[in-house]
Amino acid sequence: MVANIKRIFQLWGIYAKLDLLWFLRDTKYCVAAIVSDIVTNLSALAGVFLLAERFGNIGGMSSDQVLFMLGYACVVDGVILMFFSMNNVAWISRLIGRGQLEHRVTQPVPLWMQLLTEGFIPVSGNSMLLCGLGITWYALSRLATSVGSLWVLSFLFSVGCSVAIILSFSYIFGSIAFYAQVAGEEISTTAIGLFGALKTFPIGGLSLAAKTVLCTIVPVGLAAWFPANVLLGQAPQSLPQALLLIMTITLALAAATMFRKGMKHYATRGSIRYSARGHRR
Amino acid sequence: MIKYLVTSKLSATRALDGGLFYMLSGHLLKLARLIILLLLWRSLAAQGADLGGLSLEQLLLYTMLSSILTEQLSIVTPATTAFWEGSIASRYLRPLPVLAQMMAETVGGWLPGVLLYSIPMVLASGLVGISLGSAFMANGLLFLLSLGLSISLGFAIDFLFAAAVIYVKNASYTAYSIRQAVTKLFSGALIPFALLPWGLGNVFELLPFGSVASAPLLIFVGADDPARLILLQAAWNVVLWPVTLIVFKGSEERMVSYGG
Amino acid sequence: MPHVAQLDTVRADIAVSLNSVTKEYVQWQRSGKMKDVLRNLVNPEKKVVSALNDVSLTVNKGEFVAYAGANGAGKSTTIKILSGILQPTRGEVSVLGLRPEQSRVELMKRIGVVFGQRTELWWDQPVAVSFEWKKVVWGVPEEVYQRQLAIVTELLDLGDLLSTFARELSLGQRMRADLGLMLLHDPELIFLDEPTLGLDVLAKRQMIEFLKRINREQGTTIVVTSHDMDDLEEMAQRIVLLSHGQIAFDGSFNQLRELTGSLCRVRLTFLGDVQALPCGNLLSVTRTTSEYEFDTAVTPVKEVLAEIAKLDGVVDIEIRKAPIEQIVAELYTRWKR
Repeated sequence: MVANIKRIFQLWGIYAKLDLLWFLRDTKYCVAAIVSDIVTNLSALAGVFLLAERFGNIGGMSSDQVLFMLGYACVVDGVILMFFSMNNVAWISRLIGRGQLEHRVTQPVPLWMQLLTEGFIPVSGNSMLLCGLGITWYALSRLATSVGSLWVLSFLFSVGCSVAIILSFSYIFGSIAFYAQVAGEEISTTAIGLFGALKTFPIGGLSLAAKTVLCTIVPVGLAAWFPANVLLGQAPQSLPQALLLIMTITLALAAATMFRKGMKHYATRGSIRYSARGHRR
Repeated sequence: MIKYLVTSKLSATRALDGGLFYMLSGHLLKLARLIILLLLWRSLAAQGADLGGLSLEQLLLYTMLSSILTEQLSIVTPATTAFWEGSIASRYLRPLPVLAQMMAETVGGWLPGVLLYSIPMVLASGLVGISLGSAFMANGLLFLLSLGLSISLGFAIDFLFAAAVIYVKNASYTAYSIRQAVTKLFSGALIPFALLPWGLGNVFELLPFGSVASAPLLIFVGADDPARLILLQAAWNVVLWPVTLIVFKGSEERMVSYGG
Repeated sequence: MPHVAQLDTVRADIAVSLNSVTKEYVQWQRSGKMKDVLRNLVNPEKKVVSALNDVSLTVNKGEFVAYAGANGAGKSTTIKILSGILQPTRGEVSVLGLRPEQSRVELMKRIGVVFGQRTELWWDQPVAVSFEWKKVVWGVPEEVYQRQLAIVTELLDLGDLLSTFARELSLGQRMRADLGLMLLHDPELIFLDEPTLGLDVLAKRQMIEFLKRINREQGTTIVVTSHDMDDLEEMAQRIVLLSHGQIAFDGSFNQLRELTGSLCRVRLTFLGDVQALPCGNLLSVTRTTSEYEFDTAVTPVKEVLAEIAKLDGVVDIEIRKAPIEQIVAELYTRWKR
């Protein structure tokens, strides 16, 4: 256990170094990356503020509460981008569909550890997380919510669960690419895309049945709406408070099972295609 | 023409070679997104939210059609991937114009989506109380004209971004992220411009991204002046295609040497 | 007890062992016609293909083995099974005493794998950064890393490449860098799948010399696949030939030659016009030269020389073995029948 944790930090270290070197490799590219970040984040933030403005006081949430939920959603996106975006770790169907898992299998590191660490880009991938934290902080400053250490811990825990839910969803559908490499190559993109803007809508006004579906089978509501409301002290009455944890465990187990099954299929059938990772050909 | 059809066919059958169950999964996710949006709009209307001048029926129609035409209103050609993979050079070895073959491949790649999602959704729209037929009867011809201009503009924008990628060869992901972010907000494909506050939609509508997605959808639901929107689309086509061709031509040498 | 000890010693000398390994794939069949598209969606037609069929093979430590065969013979499949990427349908596999599918992580620390058409280099980083990455991910001790880095930099002439971005390397440079990367953890056993594919003469020579040297000096076991038989003959001491998923030949290159008879070639140069040699098959002829092929088992060299002595105006004689490419091509054709 201790050895594994040490190893994870060691691997995060090397990936952080790779990212730093990539980011600073050339002035032109460094400026391009910064400009891209600014444009991307401005667009995302503009969307967030516009939605807060439009949907404030809808679904039982005030404008500031909606803004907090949107900040939370940005933090969740930011964590995924910072920890799981390099080499398409979050968009697992691309790795499978392009036959690139073979590059992982030849490394002397357990696959789960590789997937946990190799997507880490703390330098080039931190902007969304920072923006999300900024919006969250701004929204909190306008709300009466008391923020203590326990609250911060539950915030971190909830973000972890929301991230795990989105990634599990991506892996559950992404495992389809083991069986249909061409047709399934982009399925994780669609799965993650489902959460996209939908997770930032206040769904409190929907019927109980719809809310239940959105917090279980199609867990869009668990990516921001449900945990944000719990953190704001107005947990949805009709749904159990432990729902986030229960669904995180359920989906993570389902993803692990599907992925393991897919890996078995992969080991027996092999990959029918391979596309290089961007090298000159 | 036949050579383009054959190229399209290859692209179509390649994408259809996955087995029905696996192919349906992606479309089921798209359906889930549509259902959620329809539920949300209904819920917003029920709560008395301001729908920016659109009626609930128009909003539902807009969202349904946007979902049906997802691939046509957000065109992604193989160009960027070909640069990224370094395989663009091989396309220059075929006796076809490079842009035209990529357009043929893109159109062919739409077939699975049309068969497995678009057509079933058109047929099923009546079941959820959305009448595509009557809207088509009213605005069909102008919509088709607008859709044609939208697709043409979509190709121009995609090629322009792809050509930009070659100038930032080690930062293609950067170019991709900018495109994704900008398109998401400014196209109106997911959130209709009418729902944006402070009249921002009126500004976004004037941008080329608005001409790609929002314009044909608004014409279909009868929510805006078709003549004005179509003229705007035509104007963007006239402006962007020459720019695209010039930029693409200018980056060709880099493409081939970089990819070969 | 002595018997057991003996067995252990034997096992310790074995680097690779395949025991009755069979590998079957399912291939989807398509007519390519639009009218069949819908049928394929609902009921895809499949075919089971046997890539390896009851293959048994042992490679001892320190050996340099060429693993050859026609396209689709099962070479890459074997390499993938040996490196734990694929699992066999039936049979047992042992690499350095480990089962690849069970001890993948441990095994990867001890072996090196290079697929000629793929690269492990990080494409938007300089080569040296990929080397650093390897050191951490493989947990290579500093002293081993420095020693191996010095060796590969010198022998593969990587000095100038280390600071170049991987995606900007030529194919030959990239292969050299990939080989260097693969060797940084000082693997005991190396699998190379088509490492000379697409390389020019100089790059190929450099690689062959390098592989021979690490096999000779460091005792590294090497299993290499290639289509280029002349390359393989130059590198390896032993050749395993696969045909239709089965081992059709396992032995030395000389033994392989004997399979098709002891074919030799004689090239004669005349002062004036060429004269016909009554034995052997004429392969080529110009005004002053001719080349014949003959089987020494049928016509001993002594007899051929006696016949040549009868000819007038012979100014040069060159006798050599038939190229291994030709032998193998002949075998492939026979096996096809």
